[in-house]
Amino acid sequence: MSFPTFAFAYFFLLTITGYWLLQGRRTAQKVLLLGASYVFYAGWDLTLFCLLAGVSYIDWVISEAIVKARGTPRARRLLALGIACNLALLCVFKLYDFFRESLDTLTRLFGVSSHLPVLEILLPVGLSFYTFQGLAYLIDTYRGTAYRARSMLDFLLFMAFFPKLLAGPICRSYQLLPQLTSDGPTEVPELSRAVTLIVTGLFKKIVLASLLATRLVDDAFATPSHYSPRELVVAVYAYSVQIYFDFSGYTDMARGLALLLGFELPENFAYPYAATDLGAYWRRWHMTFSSWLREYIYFPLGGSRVAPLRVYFNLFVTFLVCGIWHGSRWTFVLWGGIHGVGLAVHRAYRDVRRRYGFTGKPGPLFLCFGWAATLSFCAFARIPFKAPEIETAGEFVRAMFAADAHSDRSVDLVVVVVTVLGVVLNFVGRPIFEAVVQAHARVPTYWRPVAWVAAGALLFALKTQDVAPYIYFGF
Amino acid sequence: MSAPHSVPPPKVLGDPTEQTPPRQLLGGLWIVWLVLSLLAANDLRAWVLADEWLGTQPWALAAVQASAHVAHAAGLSSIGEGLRHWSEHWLPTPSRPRPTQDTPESTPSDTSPEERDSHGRDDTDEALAAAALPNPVPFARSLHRRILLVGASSMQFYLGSELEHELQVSYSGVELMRVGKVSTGLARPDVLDWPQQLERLVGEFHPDIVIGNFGGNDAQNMLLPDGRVLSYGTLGWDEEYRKRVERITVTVQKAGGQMVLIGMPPMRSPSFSLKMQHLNDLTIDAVTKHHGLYLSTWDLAGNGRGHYVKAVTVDGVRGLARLADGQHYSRLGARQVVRGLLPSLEHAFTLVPRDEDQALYLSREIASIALGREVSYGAYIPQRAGARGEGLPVLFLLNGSDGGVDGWPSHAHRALQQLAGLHNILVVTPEGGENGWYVDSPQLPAERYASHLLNEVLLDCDVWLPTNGRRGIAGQATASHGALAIALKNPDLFRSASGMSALLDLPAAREELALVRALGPFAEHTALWNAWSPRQLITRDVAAAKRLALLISVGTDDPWVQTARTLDTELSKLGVTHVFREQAGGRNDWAQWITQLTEHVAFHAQVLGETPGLAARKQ
Repeated sequence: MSFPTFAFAYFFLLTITGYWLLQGRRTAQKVLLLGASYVFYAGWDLTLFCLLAGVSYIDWVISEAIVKARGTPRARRLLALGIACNLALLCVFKLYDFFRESLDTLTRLFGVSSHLPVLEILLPVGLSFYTFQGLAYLIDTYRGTAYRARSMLDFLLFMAFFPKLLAGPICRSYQLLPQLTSDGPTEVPELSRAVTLIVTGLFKKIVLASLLATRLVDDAFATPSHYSPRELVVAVYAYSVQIYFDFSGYTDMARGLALLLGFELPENFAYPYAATDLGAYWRRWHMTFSSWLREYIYFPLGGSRVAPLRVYFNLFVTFLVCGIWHGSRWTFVLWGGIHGVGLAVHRAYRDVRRRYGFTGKPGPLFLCFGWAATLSFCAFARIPFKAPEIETAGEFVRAMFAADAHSDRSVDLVVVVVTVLGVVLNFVGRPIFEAVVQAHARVPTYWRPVAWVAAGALLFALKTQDVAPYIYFGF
Repeated sequence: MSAPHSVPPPKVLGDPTEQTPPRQLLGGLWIVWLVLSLLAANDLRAWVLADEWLGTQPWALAAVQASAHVAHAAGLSSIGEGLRHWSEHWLPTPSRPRPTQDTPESTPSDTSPEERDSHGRDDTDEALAAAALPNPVPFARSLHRRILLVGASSMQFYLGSELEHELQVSYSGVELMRVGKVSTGLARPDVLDWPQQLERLVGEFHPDIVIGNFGGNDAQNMLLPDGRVLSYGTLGWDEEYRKRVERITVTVQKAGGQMVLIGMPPMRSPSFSLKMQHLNDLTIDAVTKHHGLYLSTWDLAGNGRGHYVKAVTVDGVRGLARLADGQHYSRLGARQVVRGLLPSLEHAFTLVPRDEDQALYLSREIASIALGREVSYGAYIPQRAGARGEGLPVLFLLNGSDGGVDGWPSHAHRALQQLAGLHNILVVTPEGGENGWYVDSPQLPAERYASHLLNEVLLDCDVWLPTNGRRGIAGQATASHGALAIALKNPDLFRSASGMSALLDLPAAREELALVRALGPFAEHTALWNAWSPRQLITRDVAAAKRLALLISVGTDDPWVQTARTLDTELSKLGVTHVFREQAGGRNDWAQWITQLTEHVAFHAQVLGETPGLAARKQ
């Protein structure tokens, strides 16, 4: 079940009705939400429910054992076991084929075959998100910094809560568990914000992202030789905007839906295309994931409190992991590597500036240059990210430099407008969003359904014919 | 990442003190649901019709039909449609299809629809052959084919892109346009009306060939224009689906093109596989009824027994054949299927290989007096032929085993293209009936394949193809008998003869029903049997045998190995020069024959003349 579908609309309507009808009976509400979350997940594949429930149960049992063994060597061994279980799942479901193909390619160079079987393993949607959430909980429990779940029910719901199950935000224990252990709100908090988030999320996904995908991006990346270099350059930026609308649209909906149920989920995006350097970009893009990487990969490697060369290495390694997390393809490794190198270079540049005493604030011209360079770097680095294979990425780049190809063709103006709009919204989005929230709050209660119907009808009219699944469901 | 910090606390926007009683929220949500369900009643109905489970539930179908009626009566559905039209007016879909043409010297198809016959076939074959006197190849290289690829998601993604890529890199003079659209098919004209779309596309692009792939989204209930719903699995549904396939086929033919439909492959889900098989059956019926071409992927993408295959090896790379959904092809899977489909496309249409070392395949049809029907034969024409302004020797490669005209072309197409090109020899594959014995039956007028070959195919080749009068003849299994018997009976026409898995003693096959039917029971017609048996023919006319260059090969596991060995001994005793080969472990099957093919073609090429191609390679 994806958010912008009839199936989900019915599912959510029934769930929220049941949830608020059970108001005052917190345990019953949580049982309902857990059941609904499992039904929601089983809607993709029945066996996935077993996987999710199994992982959650294992993480819960191990985390409780860690608490009991805290301060002893056993706790460390239990943590290692928990990490191994979660990573094993990721490796089997996500990385096996990548490993097999890579080994096969390597062994073919020596004229032999690896003979590893080709397993058709179904990638469970959301696996990377909830295993990372489970890992964070286990590590935090070992460190003693986790907000502990009071019961298994709370923990299972913490792992499976359906608005954030498939593509995050990746919640840390202190962000969601306190809300689960509390008595819960008696009234719906911040309805205006919730509604605005849902409508914004839908608009971003079913109108803007789909429009870019169907009018240019998908086809341009599938058959770059059909397009002029000018169109391909537009497609590169358009894809960056598409993925932003797609993923931030999902997050907006997740947060809005959770809010209607009385839960606050963390923000995942802070207008990333307004960033003026790569470091700032990663503090604004997929924030819950980048903070996870920082906490559990970058810091344990030594973070930035080591020698400069080691810092650059740490950044590179962290972003290689970031790339591999996205999927079992060399294109993701390449994308992660590009960002790792980019961040290391940016860090080196900052170190050099600091060493020579340039500590003042950069001027507006420099900021403009930084913004354009960051945006372009992120956009062009996504060529391998979008391409299914390295060769396809190569084809795309070659086609971008095929000077005389299809030079007579004009670029679709709608795509250009939406792409520019996508970038501009990163600068003016927050005040617009706040204005809409305020406007909704001023609408009299009994007129609100009229406003919702109007928004729904407008979305229905503007939505593209076919809305593809969310991009991050594939990671 | 350069400045690590903890996750910022959620930013609170709007009024954090805003509290709404749940009943107000729920009331509002249910009202919105009701109104939007009516506004989007048609979309809602389409969703239910397409859903695998809901689409089979009478209550769900009744509910969405009722909501559609209510919406229609209340004018709400027209508001919804009006809104949709309004947005389409402001955001029109760009004309995305783009022809790709990487042969700048080629010119648009100069074959108008009027120049094509009633079967949608143009006169290229005649034009090619006419221009072929004495050498067809320069004309062939200027052949131009406009190919339109249409279909649902598979055509939009890997199947389409691989097909497009392979057609572009493999053939010269090909101009392509690809239009694929996810979630579409012939069952959901509300999403995309393919017949209408196709009408527009053929009107704009004027394709010679339209290759379509539909079906993945079609195993669902259909909504008719009058509002009736046809449930999937009913006879009415089958009839309607057939009509839709016929409609697109006829649309293409009316525009002067030829429709080719690629069938659906087996799927991971057995129940879905069954549905695809059913759709394939309906598609075959409909497309062949209007002389279109159906290309099956069932074995190419399956394991040959109709089962789903998860992994394939292409160019030494092993990987998944399908995407995670177990339905759509992966790039590797699509590549394998497309490479399997290309020979069929070459057989049906004259496509000129870009690699000039590969022979061009031409299918010719002749009105056979000997057989009393239209009969076709295939010819592999070296593209470098006539480079020195002279004709080429011909090898008649008879189709044994099942004898159909597609025997050799379907099993060894690429090998024949290479061998014909390498040895600069024309390879002609004539039809041999159901069993490929190539005898003239005195009692069955429709089984006079020897006469057909000698009086019709041979003549047609001499008239239409660049031959030089030097001929060889070869065959496998039953056709090995045909090849040697015909050559021994006509030593003036042929210089060389060869047989693979050679079956050369007809009386030893006296139990073969096909032979009994053609020649009569052996006991009653012994003389006739002996008159067609190579072994007896050699004994009777050693001089004729000595005029021919002979090659006989057989596998050691072949049931007829002993008769071949006996003939070898007899030939040696009679002083007939010949080459005899035994392949260890070889059986009487295509794998063995394809292995032997290289030596046989080289043998004939050497006997029939120089082999400049080979000589050049050796240098």
